[in-house]
Amino acid sequence: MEQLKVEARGVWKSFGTTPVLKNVSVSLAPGEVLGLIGPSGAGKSTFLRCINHLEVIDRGYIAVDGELIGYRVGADRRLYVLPNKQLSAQRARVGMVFQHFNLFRHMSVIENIMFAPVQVKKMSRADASARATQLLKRVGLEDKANAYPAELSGGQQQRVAIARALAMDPTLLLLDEPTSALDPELSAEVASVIRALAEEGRSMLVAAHDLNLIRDVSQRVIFMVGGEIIEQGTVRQVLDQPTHQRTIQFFATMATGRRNSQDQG
Amino acid sequence: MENTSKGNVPPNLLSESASDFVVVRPFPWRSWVELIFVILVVGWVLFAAVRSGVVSLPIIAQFLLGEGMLIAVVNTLILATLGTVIALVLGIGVALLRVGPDPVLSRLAAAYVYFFRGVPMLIQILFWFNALPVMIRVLYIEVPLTGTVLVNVPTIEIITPFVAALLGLSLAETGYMAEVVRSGMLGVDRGQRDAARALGLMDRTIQLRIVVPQGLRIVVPSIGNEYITMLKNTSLAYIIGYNEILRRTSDIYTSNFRVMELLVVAAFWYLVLTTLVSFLQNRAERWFPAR
Repeated sequence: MEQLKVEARGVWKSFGTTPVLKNVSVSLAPGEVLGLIGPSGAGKSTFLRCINHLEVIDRGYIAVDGELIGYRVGADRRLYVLPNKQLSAQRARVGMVFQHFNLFRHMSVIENIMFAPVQVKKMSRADASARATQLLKRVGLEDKANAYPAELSGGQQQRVAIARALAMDPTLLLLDEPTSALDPELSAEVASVIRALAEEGRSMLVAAHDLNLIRDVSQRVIFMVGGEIIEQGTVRQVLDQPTHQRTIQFFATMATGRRNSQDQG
Repeated sequence: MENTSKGNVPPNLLSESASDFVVVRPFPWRSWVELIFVILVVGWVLFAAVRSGVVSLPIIAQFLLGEGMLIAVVNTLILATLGTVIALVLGIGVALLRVGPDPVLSRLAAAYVYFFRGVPMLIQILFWFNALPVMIRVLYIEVPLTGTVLVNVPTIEIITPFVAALLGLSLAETGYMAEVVRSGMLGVDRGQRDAARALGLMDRTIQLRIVVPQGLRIVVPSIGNEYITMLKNTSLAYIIGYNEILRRTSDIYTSNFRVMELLVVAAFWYLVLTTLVSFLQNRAERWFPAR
């Protein structure tokens, strides 16, 4: 059997006494794009953050490319947290894009993209700069290399954030609500960059409220509510012929919400 | 829709003539009245001071630039600037230890802040000047195993008034600076750390290259504030005989008894230095915007 890109089994996670992930199991094949949808508080973002160990899970395991993330298995079947150095090395292989972009505000666009390759991969500044320029071209922002994040629109910032993640040559890309902070027009320019990544066969996990984005880029979809996976399947199955009552209800409220906001607009 | 004639909206205007309505902002009469009032009060106080002979303008003019005043002003500026720079550098270190992962170092850093903020600067300066040379009479540093002696001098020769004042002021100020820097670090958006960690950066790199630079930008106004406080705290060095503004002026007035005039001279120079630092702070805020 082919090595899975992501394999999460029986993941539990709570913040204090509030459970946020309950027995979540997800697999992602190489080159596959998986969409995560669900109402706010469903645990989509938390799950993505667990995959690169920004959050520590309580039970279960998550492996990327067959390697446990953040832990080593002891002889006693317990999981021991890896030392920081190894954690950082694992994170460097998984790219992440955030809802609020999180570009380093005190660095220019090109410095943002060069920073991790130079610091983590010990790439020379010249090589890093050449690569950054190439990535900027790819997201259509080669003229913004020396601008600061505050001078860019939200859509441009998110495209830089994607270029910054790609600069580390990640084997997997996690996108956490990449278009939620953007208006429809800016969101479209970001979506087209993500679509291009999907078409070139990158493995991605995309959590989003934007169902158009999910439909556009993903092959499979998982619907989560309250930390549990309610329904999963191909895009067609989940988005067009949902079987679970809760899923149908969710799409109904999403549709009403959209109609209402259009009425107001 | 029916055109309402209620209210004060002019009826049936074409858009061209509607544009003739220009917004007029109220003239700030009150501010001007207040300004004139303040000028009158301040002028009256100054006039009263000069007329009563409490201060004599010629005496002020005589000592403003003369009699070693300028050297004292430069000494004050050097002491305050060096003290602030040292305190900022050490303060960044203490703040990093305070928020760092090592529980022992973190508590040591907290204890440092507690102690050096808690003991009056004057006592600290007196300690460095008077007690240290008695406690440790000779400063002796030798390279281990080789027998090469690097330093071997009586401590009292090293601890000049300047060195004692610098030690006292900068080490005490480090306690305040550490808190200023830490508050800046707390103000840095959590997402910045998340993004850096997700890129595989080590915690040390994240603190030094992301959190501290952004935190410092947030606290530039507070650092300016500390610098100005330090300018005036240098006057504490007067007690151990360091030749700064207050020392110089008091040396002069103990011989000529023109106390008020010389205090005015001292106040004038502190204000000049404060103006300089305020200007630097403004520039720094522009050079390093918090973005």
